[in-house]
Amino acid sequence: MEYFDFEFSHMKKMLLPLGLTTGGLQLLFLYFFAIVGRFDTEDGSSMLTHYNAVLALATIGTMCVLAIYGTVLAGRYLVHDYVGMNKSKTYLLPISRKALFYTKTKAFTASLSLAMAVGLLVSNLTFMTTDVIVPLTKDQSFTHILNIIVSTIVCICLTLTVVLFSSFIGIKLDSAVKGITASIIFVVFLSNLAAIALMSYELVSLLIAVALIVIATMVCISMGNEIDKSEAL
Amino acid sequence: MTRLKINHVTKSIGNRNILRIGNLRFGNNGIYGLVGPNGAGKTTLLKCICGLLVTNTGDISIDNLVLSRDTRTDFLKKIGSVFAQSDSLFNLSIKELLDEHYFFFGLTAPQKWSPILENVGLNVSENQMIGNLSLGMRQRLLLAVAISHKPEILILDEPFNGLDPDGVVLTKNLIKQHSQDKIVIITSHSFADLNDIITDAVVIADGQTSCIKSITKINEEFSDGLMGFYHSFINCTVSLN
Repeated sequence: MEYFDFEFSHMKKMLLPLGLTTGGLQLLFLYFFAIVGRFDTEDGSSMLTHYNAVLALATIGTMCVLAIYGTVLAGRYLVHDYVGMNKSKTYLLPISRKALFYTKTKAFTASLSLAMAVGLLVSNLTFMTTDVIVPLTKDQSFTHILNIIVSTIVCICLTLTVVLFSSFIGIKLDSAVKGITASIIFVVFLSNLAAIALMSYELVSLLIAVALIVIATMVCISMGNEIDKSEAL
Repeated sequence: MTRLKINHVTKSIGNRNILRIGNLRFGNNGIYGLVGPNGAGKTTLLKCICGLLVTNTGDISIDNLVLSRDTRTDFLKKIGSVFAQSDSLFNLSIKELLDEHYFFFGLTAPQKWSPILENVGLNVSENQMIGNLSLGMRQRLLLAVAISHKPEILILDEPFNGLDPDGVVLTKNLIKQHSQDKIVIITSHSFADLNDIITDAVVIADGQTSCIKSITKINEEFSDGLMGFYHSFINCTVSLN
């Protein structure tokens, strides 16, 4: 816990910019899709006039940007210590390499999740409240709390999955830049699937997101074992 | 008394044999100069001692503690080191680097870092970014960090790189002070810098080491001192590959 507190204290400085970026982006996407929906009269299903569709698209939009931004931050706070000559400095610390890697990953994950949760909840609740006062969607009400909670969890899980997998690729390929490239590729593949899933099958998308986090955790454990055996050339 | 032992260590990277050390014992406190041409395996050997590289065969021990993955943490607590500077330092402030070092080595951080910095002749703010320091200033800072936990073995890879003449003198004095009750292993290409500081020397060439000789014996045996010892050994080594 002592090590976690130390690492978390170093990562604290990314909480505010990350939280503000999350909140700002989510609000921007929510209003963008809601306003587009009001003017969209050609679509027979009028998809964007429904609160859930607007919420799903905005959440996935935010997830896409944050997955890449998060990977950039992971490059600075996590991957950086495990690539090139920087490995020597990290490996010379008198602590189990595996334990240190897990602690850094946990602290980074906690920081990212915390900032995103606050940013998403505040912006979603703000939009829901203003949507009741000045209606932009057809089915505005205060009963969308459950949708907000589910979409927030899905968004955090998907973002973390992309960020962690990209970071692990960066460490494996010995380059933070390659990790960022990987995150862009992941986002391109994941965004459409996630948007469709979140709009149509909320519970399924929640289960998939949680399953992805479990897989990311397993990969993280294997990565820790690899770091423990690796060398700093 | 701390004793660093290197027993029958070999190291290869890919298909290339890098090290084949028979037996080295750093028994007495003092300053050991590890000299050799470029690519001889100096840094590889030092990295093996620090556990940064894993040896293929043989073992490295400090007293009765044999280096392995399980003992690496305890081993590293006994070692202070300065290797080539990595850019991971550049985004840190001096305070952040010292905070991290003191935290992981379980030391109590002082109220102010300035006395530690002044000890190595650094009159800079602790909040200054390391990336903004000159090469020589960074080298002094790394030395301050390396000796802060009073390690039993101090490993310095090219510590005089980038230092101005005052910096060289100061670093030598610090190394001398530290070596009074500890082992210091130092590499440098400048024999002039090593000659007036080391107590013993070992030559490494093509991954093989000579025996450890005291500087007094070297001066007795070779008319040109350390240079003679160096040349006599590298002329008789055969490549490992």
